[in-house]
Amino acid sequence: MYYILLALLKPVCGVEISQKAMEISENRIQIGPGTLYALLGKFEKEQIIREVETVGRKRYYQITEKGYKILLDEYRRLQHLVREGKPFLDQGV
Amino acid sequence: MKKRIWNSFEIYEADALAEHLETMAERGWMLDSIKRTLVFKRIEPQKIKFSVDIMENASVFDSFHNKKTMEYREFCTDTGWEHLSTNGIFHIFYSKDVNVIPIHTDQEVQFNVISKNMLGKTIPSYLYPLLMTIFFLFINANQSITSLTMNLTLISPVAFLFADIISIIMLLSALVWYLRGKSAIKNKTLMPKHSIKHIRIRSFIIMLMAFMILFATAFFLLIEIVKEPIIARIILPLILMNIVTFIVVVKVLTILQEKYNFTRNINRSIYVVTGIVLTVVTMVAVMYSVFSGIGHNSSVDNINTSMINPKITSEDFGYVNNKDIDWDYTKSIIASIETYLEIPTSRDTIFSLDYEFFQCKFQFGVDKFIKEKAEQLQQMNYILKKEIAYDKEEVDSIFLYSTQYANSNNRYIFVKDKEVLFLEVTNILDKEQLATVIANFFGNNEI
Repeated sequence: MYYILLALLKPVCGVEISQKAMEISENRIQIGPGTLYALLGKFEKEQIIREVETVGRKRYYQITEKGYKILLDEYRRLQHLVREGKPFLDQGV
Repeated sequence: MKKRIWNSFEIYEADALAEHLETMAERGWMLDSIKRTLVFKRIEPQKIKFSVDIMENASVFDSFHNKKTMEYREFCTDTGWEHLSTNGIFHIFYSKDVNVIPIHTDQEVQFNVISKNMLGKTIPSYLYPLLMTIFFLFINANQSITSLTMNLTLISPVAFLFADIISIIMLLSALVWYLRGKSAIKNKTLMPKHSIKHIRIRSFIIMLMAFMILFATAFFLLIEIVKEPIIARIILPLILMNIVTFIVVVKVLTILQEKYNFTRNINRSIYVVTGIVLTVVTMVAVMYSVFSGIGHNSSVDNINTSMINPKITSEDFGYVNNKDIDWDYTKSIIASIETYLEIPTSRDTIFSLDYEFFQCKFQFGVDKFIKEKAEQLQQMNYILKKEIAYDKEEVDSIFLYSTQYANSNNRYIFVKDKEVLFLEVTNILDKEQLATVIANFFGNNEI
């Protein structure tokens, strides 16, 4: 979810979302078209993203305010995890 | 050159179907289309990646080119997958690049899509035979035991039983998949894969049961055609009409789905309307044939006297009457019933009789017949507000119950092992006449 929402900070369509998610994650995260299609439907229903444009059969989506808040909360949670773990990891074994 | 096999994969066995298609491609068979069968065509053996996908809220009534399906297909083709075929539920994609990103990379998402489809469509279809069985038991709860004398009537409960066994197998299979899937998601492990071998065994058992029922039905139908012309003249053509119409409608609808973009509701309505029309036509035809007496064997007015073979008539008691007769004999593999009725055509007739002679291989059948008849007669006698009292005699293994009731008719009930005779005569029978009855129906026992 995190990488999909990051990819949707600017309007993008279908296959570009999974490509962007791969770029951001340095090829660690691969999202299949079926998984992506199902998630986009779910996010749109929950108003986390919205359709901004349709070109032919390609639909362009972008994150909503609600979705941005969720993304920000997740980003801060991950920051907390890193910050809290750093002192202990720096000590070594 | 093409090869066709029955599509026995359930909605939650998409992974097994994909694996099967890959195996077939390695053996030189490429899927050409999927409907109720999988049709393969010959190719050079090669490694091809397949993905069998199920869209959310899938339906066999969806047009193959509806907006949502086309949109989804493009989604997948943009990532290196080609769309091959669909039957409305399964969408078959393939790629010759074996390193292509799988269509589904999150098993929880896929599991939820399949589960929703299962709960909405697949599970109700498994429950349908069980509900039909309950309905069948309900409407037949008060059916006369004499229905055991028709072979075709015996087939119905067996067919329902087989259908219920199949339903239970399918429900358990779905439940096992669901529980194992839930557990895999909870423990973040891989979903267990389906075994093609198990699917084949299950499919074989189901096909075998279906074949046994069809064969038994066809066999007994042929036997009944000889005995009851109504089967040949009315019911058989109706069955054939229903089967042919169903096949034609499915074929036409498949063509319409491929060519036009009718909505799901229109496609579904075509099936429903066809089903209703066929049901109404069949019911009207059967009711008309029954009430008009078309093809009935033992009509009072039109009898082939050489076929009539009653075990006893008024002539056996020394009376020669002007009368019309109604005689019928029905026999199945477990029971038989013979009914005979003399209808006097002259006011001078001083003796007439009628009887029902029931035989059954099972004691419960005979007991139920006696109970039904006794209740029926008691209800008829209720109008006169009299309880029927029977005198009882026994000789050897024959119980004889006798009484007078209503218009001074004399009733005799003979019970021996798994045979029972209800005899009604206008005169009281003397010992010699009773012995004649016993000899004609049960052999040479004397009373």
